[in-house]
Amino acid sequence: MTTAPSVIVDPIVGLEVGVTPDKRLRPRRTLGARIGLGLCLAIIGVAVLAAAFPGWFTHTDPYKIFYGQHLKPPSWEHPFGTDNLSRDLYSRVVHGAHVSLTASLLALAISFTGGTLLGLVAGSAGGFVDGVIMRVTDLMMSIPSLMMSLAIVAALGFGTINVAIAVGVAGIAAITRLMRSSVLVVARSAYVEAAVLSGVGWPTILRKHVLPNSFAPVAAYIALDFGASIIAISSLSFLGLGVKPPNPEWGALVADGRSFLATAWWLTTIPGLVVTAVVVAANGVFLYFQSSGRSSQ
Amino acid sequence: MKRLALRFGQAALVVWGAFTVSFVILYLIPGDSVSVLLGADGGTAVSPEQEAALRSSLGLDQGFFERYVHLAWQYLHLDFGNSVLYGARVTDLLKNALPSTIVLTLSAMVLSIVFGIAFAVAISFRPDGRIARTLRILPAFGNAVPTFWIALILLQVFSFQIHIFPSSGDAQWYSVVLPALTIAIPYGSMIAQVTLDGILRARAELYVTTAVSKGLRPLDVHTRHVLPASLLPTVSIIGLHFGTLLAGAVISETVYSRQGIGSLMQQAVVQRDLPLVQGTIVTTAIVFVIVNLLTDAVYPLIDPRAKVSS
Repeated sequence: MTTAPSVIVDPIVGLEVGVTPDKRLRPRRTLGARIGLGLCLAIIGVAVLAAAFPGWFTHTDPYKIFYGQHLKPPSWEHPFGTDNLSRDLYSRVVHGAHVSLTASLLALAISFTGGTLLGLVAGSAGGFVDGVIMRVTDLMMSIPSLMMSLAIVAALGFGTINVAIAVGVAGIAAITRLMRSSVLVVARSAYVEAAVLSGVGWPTILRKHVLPNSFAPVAAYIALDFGASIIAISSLSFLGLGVKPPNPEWGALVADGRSFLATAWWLTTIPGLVVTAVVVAANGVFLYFQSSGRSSQ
Repeated sequence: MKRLALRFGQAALVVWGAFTVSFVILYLIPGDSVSVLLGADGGTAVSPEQEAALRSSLGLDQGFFERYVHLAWQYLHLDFGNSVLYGARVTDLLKNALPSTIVLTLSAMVLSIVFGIAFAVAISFRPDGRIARTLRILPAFGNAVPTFWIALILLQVFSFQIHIFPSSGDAQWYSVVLPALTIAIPYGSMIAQVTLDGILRARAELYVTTAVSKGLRPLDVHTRHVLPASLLPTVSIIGLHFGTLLAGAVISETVYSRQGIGSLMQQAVVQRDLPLVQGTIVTTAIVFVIVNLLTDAVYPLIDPRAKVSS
């Protein structure tokens, strides 16, 4: 790794908020940090496995009604308790992972594909094209991303796919800015200059030199954005814009439990705790790689 | 003066941006919002005349550019159109909802600033101590917890387990505490992180070493040199991330059944009341730029350099 940008770009506002702290301030990679990383990866791993192979975690049908087991607190039989329709909450959380995580991945794919391409074009083309793309991201940043997603859902209609598209589109501007500032640094580097001087065409330079090198520092944000899109998607589902009942989804499960706050704490607490755990884990992975990625320079 | 004019110009641009982006999203996305609106009522029993009337009330019978200019002109005259859902003027609905949201977000802002900075200062006494190292993880959690979940947990603990705060509405002044706390947790966590980072960074500066070596008491070093320098990024974060509070208000107001801009927006989206959705977005943009103009005004108070350049 030759040149990684030393600017820290605020992921929400997309502005440079500072430079990387110098070595004295940088947290050292302690054993604790490594254990923390392992724990975070384990949590994400379990969540991803649950999304891909729910059968590995439960054999209970998430729609099955256990007659007489109405609003039962957690027990051996039902580790997360049962809901108001006497369904097993554990099984619903496990099966909910599928919708929540697939939607987050779709949102991630949209914001990273769009943002990377736009940032690459803006950073390498410069001039007028750069100006236009940056002004458009300025415009997109004038609305908080949750509100932008809400507006997109209002226009597109409800449902998981639309919610994922809305969250993904709302995230494009931030990634575009990140990618652009990274491209600007790489474009100034000696190896790009060398490639230009040795007569390599621009498409090849962009594909072989600029794209991989400028994407590397952006890649750490995948973890951060993964957590952010899980929150955004479950928030929109919580507001009633995502999955249709009786399909399980994490935000929707919490919303379903709202009416039983006083009597059945587990209905809201447990699915919410699962969302929090996955998001904390994703942020943990981001922090680990963000602070260690640059010390290898 | 020139700087001030520039600031106001930028503020106007942000509001225009919010208007334009919401317009493009709401009226350009393929998918006919009218048929969806009619379909939402379960009705094919709507006469073609009624459908045409709804179309022209939304301006859908005009071309895109024509509609944009027309609507922008209306907005400039503070006419945000009529709500499809309530039939009332959007501006009237917003006027009724705005005070509640302002009280909510400002209370949350005060809570976040007080607790965020206090947390950062407390940790900064011994940042590498065992307790401090553990506590330093807290803001990272605060940032990661979904707002809707915090809202429900606070509700469960403080209004259902120990009956301190009401669970909904905004009848009493103290009913704002839980909704404000809900959105203050992620925002305050961010303030704590930025401030702590600022303090540690400022402490490594040479002028602090100078102050210490000339024999200034540690308290004076901190109040006169370290804190003012470290608060600069905090102040700009407070303004720039105010949108977090406004977005949080959508969820907080919905959970606590407060009649604010956020819950109005949620209802507007659920009912696909496009004029109302756009009205709430533009209004939050206006609130956002006003808060940022105010934080800009605070800036020179703590950074003399900003005063010189203005």
